Amino acid sequence: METRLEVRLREPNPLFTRWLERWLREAERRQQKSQFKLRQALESLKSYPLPLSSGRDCSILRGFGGTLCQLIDEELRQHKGLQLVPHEVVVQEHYEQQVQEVIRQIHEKQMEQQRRQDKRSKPKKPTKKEQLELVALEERERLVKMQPGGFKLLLLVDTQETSGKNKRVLDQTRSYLESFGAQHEVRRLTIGDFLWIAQDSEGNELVLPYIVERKRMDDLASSIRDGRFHEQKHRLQQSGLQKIIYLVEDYGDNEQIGLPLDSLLQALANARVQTGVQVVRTENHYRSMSYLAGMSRSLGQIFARKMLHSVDRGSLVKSSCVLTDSELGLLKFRALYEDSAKNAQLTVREVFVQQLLQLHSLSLERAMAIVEQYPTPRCLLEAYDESPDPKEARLLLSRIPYGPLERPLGDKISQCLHEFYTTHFR
Amino acid sequence: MSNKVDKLHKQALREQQKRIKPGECMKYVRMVIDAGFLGIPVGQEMLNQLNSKDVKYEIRSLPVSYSIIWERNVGQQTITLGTSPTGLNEAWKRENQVVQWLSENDFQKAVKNQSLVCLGPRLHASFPGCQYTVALPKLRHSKHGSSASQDALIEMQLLQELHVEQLNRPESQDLLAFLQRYTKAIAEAPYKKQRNETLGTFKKYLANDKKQCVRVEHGNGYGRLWQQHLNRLPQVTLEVAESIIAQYPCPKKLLDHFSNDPTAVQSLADLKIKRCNGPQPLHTERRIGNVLSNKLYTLYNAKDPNTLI
Repeated sequence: METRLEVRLREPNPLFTRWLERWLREAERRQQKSQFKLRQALESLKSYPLPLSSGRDCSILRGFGGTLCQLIDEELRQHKGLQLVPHEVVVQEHYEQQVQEVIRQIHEKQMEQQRRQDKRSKPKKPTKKEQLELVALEERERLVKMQPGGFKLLLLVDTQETSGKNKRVLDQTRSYLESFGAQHEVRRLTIGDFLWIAQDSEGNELVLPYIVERKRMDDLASSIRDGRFHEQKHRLQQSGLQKIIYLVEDYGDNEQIGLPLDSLLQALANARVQTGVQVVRTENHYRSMSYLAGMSRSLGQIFARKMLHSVDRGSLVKSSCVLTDSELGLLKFRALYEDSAKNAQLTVREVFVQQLLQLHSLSLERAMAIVEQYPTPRCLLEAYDESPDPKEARLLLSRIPYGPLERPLGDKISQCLHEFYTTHFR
Repeated sequence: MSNKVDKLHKQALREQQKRIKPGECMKYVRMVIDAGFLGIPVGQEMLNQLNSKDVKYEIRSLPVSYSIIWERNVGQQTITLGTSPTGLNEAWKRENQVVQWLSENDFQKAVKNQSLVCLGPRLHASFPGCQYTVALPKLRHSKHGSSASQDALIEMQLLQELHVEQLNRPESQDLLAFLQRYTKAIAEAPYKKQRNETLGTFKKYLANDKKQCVRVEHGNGYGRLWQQHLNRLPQVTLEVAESIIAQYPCPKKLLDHFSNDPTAVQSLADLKIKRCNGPQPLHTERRIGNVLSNKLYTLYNAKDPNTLI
């Protein structure tokens, strides 16, 4: 480990300093006028941090006139004559010795510190990050049980919710909910705009199987236009929460929303019929919040006498009847939050399918058929390698059936992919 | 012999595909409307307007008053004696959607005497295993937020799991439009279901990307296709992709690099990114980096499709 040291000599010019002091004392004794200038020179020499090698060099300092410098040089010549070792060498050695001493002292101090630290942390303490990870793991694994009456319901409001996406609208949401007496908390949600959780005294949180997505008509129109609508619906379905509710709010008279009203209503009908999503229409923000408050009340009554326990997403029972079952398995809030995070990692299969889709004539059905035979790029490449001759390899994919009619993929696609993966094109 | 069976099978599949195609599918679905509608003004107006639309329907006496159900012609036929010249009749299969209309009076009465709770069970009993929607005229809200009516609706949705459609005035017109939308949704449902079977297995919604796909003709376009392939990884920006392509202009080169060079991942990680704007004061991201390099390695070498990238 490197440590930067700043070395400042306490006495960079001991020789000159001694001489000046001697001359100053003489001058004071004899009450000579030169004492003033000498004093000044001595002061500036003492303040100067670097070693000076001659009287002439001293001329850069204040108070060192020509005469004084000559005097120093004369003294230096005499001094050198008396020395056995050259002056510069002595100075250098002296300097080095001092620096070495400083280094040694610092090194010792460091060793001492390290020894003390090692002693204190004898059972090796896990880093803060590791500690947090352990806590999180324990929380994920733990089975949570809540007795009827041992928990309270809380409506969670997403911080980013509302079409305006600004603080004013969020405040409006909160004030409306408060006016309806709906207990709620604002939190960052990774899925949905509104959720309900059951909270017990230990801080465990289980999510009720209802998820509300609030959409004003103009939002709905723009999300349908840019394709987000279907993606969002897909994510809601993947969340594991069974009862999906679209809270669709009118935008004025619904005339300037970006799509014909009928198209929107058809999309909502499709969502109901084909996806089983509940659609609730309201006239304005106030009525939307009124509805949510009403839902909170009803849910409170429904869940008052239920016993709840935690399950993970894999073991969610689809056939459970939320209303009649006296015991319900629910997701943990933390688990839902992490699962639904949008940056959920992709699998090799997903990326491979997306790559295949980049080819113009490759539809999703065809891509799926390929991936069914060769689930990763490596599998496909190995199949190419193991092929007896290049001609076979080129047609490796051509006979794979795709779609409900099980048509063969065809030579063109097969050859195209083979060429893409195995040749050196520029 | 099996050839003939195959042929018939293929034919049946083709026929089925034709029937579920959006647009075509409307011809094979019909509404069945309860005869009770004939006796009320709303019903009569609605039926009048219905006649001018292109929707197939039949009037029948249904177990629940003012209900509507749907049936699909699946291409099968049943043997019936006497009623048709061929002795065969089209078989219509019941769809699993049921709509019940409630008049405003009936609704208000039910709220008052708390008989709304019977709605759901009655529908379940008469039409088991379906999704139920109740259509009623739009509620007139009281001045103070919530009301008994709204609470009743919430309970219907939560407790009885009924869908609720509030109709604007004129009621007959809105009811008809609503039924038309449902008919279309029901007609197209099998097609959507087929498409979604594959999509549902992926966490990420996949079908959106067709805007940037590459046409490969006579061996041209592979370069762009390679770039698009690289772009599928979220960490790959334009500059990153271009830097990779500069070193590995085709997938084969990258694959060879991975298989021949034992320090492949490291050397890929150290590959410099060429920035377009000349020398930049930022020193942080001039390399591809270990993370992305590892992801690329995983992508092209993993044999387990569920490996996370």
